[in-house]
Parts: sequence; C-alpha cells; structure tokens
Amino acid sequence: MPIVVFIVNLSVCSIDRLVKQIRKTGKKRFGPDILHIGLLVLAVGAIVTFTGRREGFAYLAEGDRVRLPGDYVMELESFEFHTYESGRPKAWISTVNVYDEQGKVIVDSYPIRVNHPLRIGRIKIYQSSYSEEATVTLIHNSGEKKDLKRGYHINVGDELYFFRGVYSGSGNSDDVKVVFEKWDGQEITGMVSLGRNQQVGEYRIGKISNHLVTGLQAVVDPGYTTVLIAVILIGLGLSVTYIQKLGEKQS
Amino acid sequence: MISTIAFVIICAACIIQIVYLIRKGGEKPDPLSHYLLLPAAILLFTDITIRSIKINFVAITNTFESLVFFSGVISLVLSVYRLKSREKSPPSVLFGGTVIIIIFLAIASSPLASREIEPPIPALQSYWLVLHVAFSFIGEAFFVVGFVAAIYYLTNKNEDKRRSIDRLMYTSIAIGYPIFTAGALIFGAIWAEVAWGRYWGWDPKETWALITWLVYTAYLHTRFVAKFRGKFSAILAIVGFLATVFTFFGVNYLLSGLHSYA
Repeated sequence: MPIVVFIVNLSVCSIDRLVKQIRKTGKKRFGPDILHIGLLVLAVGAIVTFTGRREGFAYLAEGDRVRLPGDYVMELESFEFHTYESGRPKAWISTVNVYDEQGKVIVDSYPIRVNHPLRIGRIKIYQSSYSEEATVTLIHNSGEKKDLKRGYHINVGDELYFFRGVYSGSGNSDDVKVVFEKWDGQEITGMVSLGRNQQVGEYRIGKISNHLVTGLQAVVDPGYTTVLIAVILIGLGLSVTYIQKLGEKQS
Repeated sequence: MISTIAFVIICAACIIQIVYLIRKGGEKPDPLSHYLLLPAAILLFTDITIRSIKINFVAITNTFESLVFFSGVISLVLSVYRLKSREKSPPSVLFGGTVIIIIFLAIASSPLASREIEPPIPALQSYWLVLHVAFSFIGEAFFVVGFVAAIYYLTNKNEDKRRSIDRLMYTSIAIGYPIFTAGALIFGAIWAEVAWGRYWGWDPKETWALITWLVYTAYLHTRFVAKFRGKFSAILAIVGFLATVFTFFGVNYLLSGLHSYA
C-alpha cells in the first residue's frame, strides 16, 4: 500500500511539474522532470520484474547438459577455480557451449565468470556458486557396481551408513579415504573412514572421485529493458539538472 | 606509512584551526590549514594508488581503503571549498570537517579495519564497483560539509551568519545528492545486475543507502516545494549524515549481507 501511494503521489507531482514547466515562459528546467519520469519508469520496471521474473539454478559437472527456456541446451565444457597465492578465491570460470533446438552451436566456449554473465536473448546465465561432488563406487560381493553420491546411504546390518565426503589425510591423492556416518535409526553412533579395497558390509570400496561442480543461475527478467531505460533517464535527468545549474551560476 | 604522514599533516592542520578559532573567535579562517589538507589528500590518494598497483586493481575494496579514499575526498573538498570561498568560509565548518577526517583515519588505523593488501575476490572484480564506491564517497564528502554546516547553524545565534551557513548547507547537499544518487543507487544497481542478476536485493547496505537517499530527498523537496529553511533543514542534514555513517559502519559491523567486505 505505501508503494502504491508513493507511485500515485510521484505521478501526480511529476505531471503537475511537467505541465508547469511547459507553460512556463522563462527559462525552463527539464532535468528534474526527466529524473522524475525516470523514477516512474523504474516503478513500472520493478512491477514488471516482480510479477514476471523467473530464475532457475543447477549444479553442473563437466560434460553435463541442462535445458534452458526457449529450447536451448547448455553444456558445461569445463569448470576452473583459480586462487591467489594466499588461497583467496581469484576466479570461478564455467566455460559453456549453447545449442539451439536443432543442435546447432549458438554459443561456443563462452567463459561465464562472476561479473561476466552470458546473455542469450532474454536469458542471462550467472556464475552463482560452486560445490564439491564426491562419488564412491561400491563393489558388491556379487560383483555388481553401485555409484554412491555424497549425502546418500547404504544399509550395513541394522545400521545406515551415510556417505559424508572424502578426505586425504596426507594430501596425497592415492591416500584418499571415504567417510561414512553411522546411524542406528535413532542417533549417530560413530564415523568410519575407509580407503580403497576396504570392506563395508557387503561392499568393497572401489573408485573414489571428488570433483568441483559449478552452480549456474539462469534469469529471465521481462523488466530488464524498462529498468535499464529508467536508469538512463535518471542519470540523464541528474546530468541535465547539474549542467543547467552550473550554466546558470556561471552566467 | 603514507597514510600516517597524511594523518600527521591533517592533525597539524587541525591544531592550526583550533589556535585560530581560540585567538580570532571564529571570525576569520586561518591562512594555512587548507594548504595542508591539499597535500594530505594527495598523500592519501597516493597510498590508494600504490595499493592499486600492488593488487593490479583499484584499491577501494575493503574498509581501510574505503576510509583512506573517503578521507582523501573530504580533505580535497574542504580545501577546494576554502580556496574558492576565500575569506568567507566559516572556520568552524573547516574545523568540523577536519575533525571528521581525523576520526575516519583513526578508525582506519584501528583493529576494526585490516590494512592487509589483498587482491579482490571475484565479486569485486568489476569497474562498476569502482564507479559505485568512488561516486558514493564523493557525494558523501559533500554531505560531511552539509552535516558540519548544520551543526554550526544550530549552535549559532547570529542571523546573518545563519543565512550564509544555511546556503552552504544547501549547496553542499545539492552537489553531493546527484553524485551520491549516481554512485550508490544507479551504479550500484547496474553492478548488482551484472554480478548477481538483479538490480536490487534489499541487502542491509542497499536498504540503508536508500534510507540515506530518502532523507536527503526529503531535505531537497521540503526546501524546494515547502520552502523549508533553517532549523528543520539543519536537522534533516544531520539525520542524513547519521544515516550515511550507519550505512557505512553500522551495516558493516552490526548487520551481515552482500556488502560485508565493504
């Protein structure tokens, strides 16, 4: 309600001021009018954004594909995480390819970074986050293989073993261990860390992998152009007001 | 080290101002302190430049650098104002502005602000950030003058002086307002869109910047439309500056959000 009152008030005052300026016989100052019209356009853009904005989010590993609005398909070609010497994050770079519905490449190896989104028509793709995706291949006594992702569990006797992640105590990639959290149905009863070929219930630990996945956000904002026009009008209004004031002061 | 030298120079300028205020009763501005504020500003900007070269980006990405840059802009604004207005500038306004610079630099040298030179994280690697921060602080430097003028207005009984100080308060806010609007709101919104995919997110810093902007909008509109002058305007100028300070410090240390590094 206060926003509606504000917009009505702004509209009435802006129109009133503009009419007075047009009728004025002396020196006319249109800077504030442009600025106020810009604020009204901004209000319209904000309403359009509020009602029509859509966004989606996906974690992608290298080679993964995701469907975008407009029947585009985006494929993650590579994901890099660079750090400074101090370990401070320097860049997350998701290089993507985008195909149209006929499979034709429309975007080839585009690096999406923070502050460097990809724009395809109305859709914008942002570098939003990243995560580590740990997977362990469990080999059943029967020889059957099963890939277990972090957060999922297996049954071991009467207990559930939740796969919580992988770690390397020595920092050596050959010394990677899998960490399970044991749960008896009521409480956590302990933690177990196991290396390759060690046995857990009816399974043997096989391949252990831990790789980064990128978090990309797709945004479709129908108010984008309106807000952009509003921002330009506000900037223009401020500049015109300023320049006119300076000119009057000097003369 | 360079900022420390600038701090010493500004303290010297402040001492000269105090001596003149006591000896001349605040009637005439001292002839020297603004010539000290100018090289102090240059030194503060030099410190920022050196840090920028080291990180290969414009070094206004943490609290220390922001305070040094802000202090440099205030020093420059005060110095230019004194040079342009010559003998007419009230010494109390220059003194008040100088005290605020000293407070900001003291905070910059305290444990509240880390002096470590660190390259920017990915979210800060945008030239919209540079425009956003630089324009915001330039606008806010004029608000400092408006704030000090407002205090001086409320504590002064001389009507002639009050009229000229009211004019100074209005001029400084009228100059700072469009610059602050461009920096804090327009460039900030554009940067947010490029970095996060939305112009506005009601982050505490954004909300408080909007509150600050609304207070100064109220100041200008009550002046233009309702023809308010004097005490009411002075109180609004003080409230506006308090909102500016809270937007900078209060949000950093009391509230968390997307701007927690600023």
